[in-house]
Amino acid sequence: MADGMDTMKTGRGIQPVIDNPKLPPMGDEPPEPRTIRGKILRMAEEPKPDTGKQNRMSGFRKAAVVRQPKTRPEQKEANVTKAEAAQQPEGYVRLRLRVSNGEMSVVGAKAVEGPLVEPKLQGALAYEATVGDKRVAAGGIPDVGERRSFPDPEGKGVMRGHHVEELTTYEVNVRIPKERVSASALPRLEIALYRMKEELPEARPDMLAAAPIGEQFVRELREVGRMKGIRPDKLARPVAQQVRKAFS
Amino acid sequence: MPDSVTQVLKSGPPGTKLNIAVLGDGFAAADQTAYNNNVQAVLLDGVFGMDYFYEDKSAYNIYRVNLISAQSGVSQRVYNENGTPSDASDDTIVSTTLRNTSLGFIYSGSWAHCWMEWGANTPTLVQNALNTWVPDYDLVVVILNESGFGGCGGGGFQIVTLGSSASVMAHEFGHGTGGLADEYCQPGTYAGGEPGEPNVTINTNRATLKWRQFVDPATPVPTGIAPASPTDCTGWTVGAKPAGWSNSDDAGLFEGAKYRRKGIYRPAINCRMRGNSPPFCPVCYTRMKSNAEPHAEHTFLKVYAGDFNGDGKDDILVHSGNAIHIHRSNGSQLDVVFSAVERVPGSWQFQPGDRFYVGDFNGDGKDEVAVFNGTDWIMEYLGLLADDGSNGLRLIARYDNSMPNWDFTPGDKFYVADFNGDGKKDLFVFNGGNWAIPYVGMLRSTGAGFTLARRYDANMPGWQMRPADRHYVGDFTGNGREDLWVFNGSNWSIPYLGMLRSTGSALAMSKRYDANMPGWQMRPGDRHYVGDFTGDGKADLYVFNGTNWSIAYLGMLQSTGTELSMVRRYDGNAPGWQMRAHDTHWISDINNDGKADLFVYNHQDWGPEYLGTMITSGTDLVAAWREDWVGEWNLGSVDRFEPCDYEGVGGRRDLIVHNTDWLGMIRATPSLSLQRIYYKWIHNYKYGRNW
Repeated sequence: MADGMDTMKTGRGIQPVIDNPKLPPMGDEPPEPRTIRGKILRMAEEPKPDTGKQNRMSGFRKAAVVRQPKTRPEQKEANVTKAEAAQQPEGYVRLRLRVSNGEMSVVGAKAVEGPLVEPKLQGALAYEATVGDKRVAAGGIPDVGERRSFPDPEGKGVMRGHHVEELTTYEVNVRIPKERVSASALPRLEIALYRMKEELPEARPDMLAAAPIGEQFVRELREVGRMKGIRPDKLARPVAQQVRKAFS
Repeated sequence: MPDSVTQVLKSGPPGTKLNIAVLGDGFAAADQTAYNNNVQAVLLDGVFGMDYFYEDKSAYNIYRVNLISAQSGVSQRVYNENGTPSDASDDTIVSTTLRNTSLGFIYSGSWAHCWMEWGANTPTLVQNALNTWVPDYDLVVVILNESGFGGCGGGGFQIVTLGSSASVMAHEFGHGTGGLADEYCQPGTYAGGEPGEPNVTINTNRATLKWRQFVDPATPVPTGIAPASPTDCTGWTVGAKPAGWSNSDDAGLFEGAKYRRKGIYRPAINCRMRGNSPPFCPVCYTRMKSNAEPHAEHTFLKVYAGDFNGDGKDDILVHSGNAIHIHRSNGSQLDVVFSAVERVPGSWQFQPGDRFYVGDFNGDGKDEVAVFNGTDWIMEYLGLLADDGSNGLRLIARYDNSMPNWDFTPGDKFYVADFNGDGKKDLFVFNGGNWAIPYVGMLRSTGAGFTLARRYDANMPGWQMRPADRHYVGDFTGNGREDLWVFNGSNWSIPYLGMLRSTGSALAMSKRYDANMPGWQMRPGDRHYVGDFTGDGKADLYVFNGTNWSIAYLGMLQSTGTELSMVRRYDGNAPGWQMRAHDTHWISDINNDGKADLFVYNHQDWGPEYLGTMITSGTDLVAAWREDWVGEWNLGSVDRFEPCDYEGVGGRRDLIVHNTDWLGMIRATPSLSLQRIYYKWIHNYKYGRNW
């Protein structure tokens, strides 16, 4: 009998591996019929037709060809059960943040239903949202902080490329899973924004170690802004309403 | 006409995808068709018809917002550029003509002014539109009803005119989703530090170059050095450019990028991030794929082999969630030729629970795909997908909930077989658990759909059907009609095997074995593999049992046309292979001699994993194997195998091996070897790879 770490052998005279010594080898005799619920059950030589009525397909009629329509209706979605609905994530909040010379402020908020896949920490900026010492969200922002005119197809010299304007004020989206931040925790919600100087060795937010990314990746990240707490009562009324509604 | 939104690309919940919101400005009610057509032509057919974007459609949702402007066309501003169109500092406004539009953009046609500008209320109007009409957004495309050329990008936005092209938009998405740098060159020398973008560098050291994995060791580094006074980015300057060099697909180190022509380098002579029209270079492509990968949700778990274009080489269909891809084999590698998300024309809406059955259902020499879903919708659906004439698939038949004489239920199991010998594959369907009695149906293919030729209720001739019946197909009579084999090892006191001959429209019991076959005591754990191992045109039977006896057994039972006779039984060992409890087999034809051989795999009973071939002479087997690795493929418990002929050499000597992240092409002749390996996505880099 081989154990689980053996390797296969080849050549003449190799003995078969006995996987289960409690069982017999195959013989020539017919097997003993086993009983099922105390009975010997054998298939009939000539089975009788089914005569039952319940839980059966309707009777067979001469086969008809189904004409295929030119347009077909949408396939119908299954109803979501209460149990399935309860398993759905609470959704997330998309926060619109304005960054102006390093100062960050909330300019909009919207609750979005459904699960969230956090974006990889790749691109121009990375963000990290924390409550206390716990990371609640992180992600990358690929394209930010500049305005580019398309190249002029008939232009000459520099006009064959972009005209690039660096922006001192720009806006970004940050996404916060709702189950990780309650409305009452908003004053303790801290959002840091980093310029990505180099690629991070690990770009997937769910694979990051627990320490703040600014501490983990000192060489790769440079902080460009930090917002400490969101206090709806300090926000402009329309924004405050959006924030309260989104985190309700 | 009120404002509205239409989701024109539906890949999944917004939080799991990259969301593109498309807004129109200056489109009055009468202009909405033109706006819709532009979105279709430029974004959907244009950008998302191109290489990378086509492949990764399933990473994106697109929401087309129809905003009804009071006036047609956008506001206009005319600048006096004072003869210096590239310098905005000396420009003065000559005139501004305001129009009442939904977003208030002002078109100027001036490059130095980003071709357009935002009106005083435009930021608020844009945010209001986004908050009102789209659940979330990562990228925003604003289309202006303006025929002049122009576009302004940045911050995830691109505002374009009707004169903008798909290739420029695709370039801008390289910034917007990939965070890629421009690879344009302009006069001047770069004086900054190492840029953060993955596709530009100041580093000329091959050993530490960001994209060294894509640079062939034979390629000099640097590869292109800017001469004293060029007018544009440099190309290959270090001797003769090698034959076969691709300006967009080969990587090196070329001076000039990010608006400077010296002191900074790019990976390719002409990537999309420089020239707009070419595809992304390997570096940019990989970044785009990597960034989108969590959102695309592609895996290699569900792979189906089939010759979808009839060139004799098996291709693969990969199904992930609500998307499918067809990857065409050229004999040694795979390339994406079809990508569909959410649905195909017809329409079949893909879901995770779709089950695919590949076969030539219309006899045209190309494989079609029957698809069944019994779990994801309020009712069951059966569809038939056929060649769309351009490498893809479209739905040609769909049966919702039922078809005449068959009510679909979730437990329906399908088996592909040409039971009437007309050259068109048909389907057997069995349901053993959803009704009071089991059913077997014979779904005859007309080439354009199916009709139920015959249904068996509770019994087939000479066979009492039971829920645990297991079915196999194969022409054991050799008359060109594929027959039905059925085994039941658990519902009766003894096991049974039936051989039911197809008459073309019905089944007749040819032979039933009760408890024993010649030379073989049947047991519940018997596993059967139907294939013509004698090469006489009649399907024979391999039977294996590794669990019900002290040692494992493999029997070769030849079909006489009406019954079986034992040709060879291996007790414990086959020549070259020590049989074990968890050996798993697949029918193949490894040496293309018309005799059905076996692939065999065992990842449970030994220390390392074993993948083997068992080649038959018609009366016996000879095995060979690889241990632990096949080339670079590290065999594992999660591996799945699809026997096929991707080489197009005849027989069935190849294997597609796959698991969640990896897909490999293994050929068995002259011996098991890995021909190609892919990680996360299928792309054939000219040099290097994405791991």
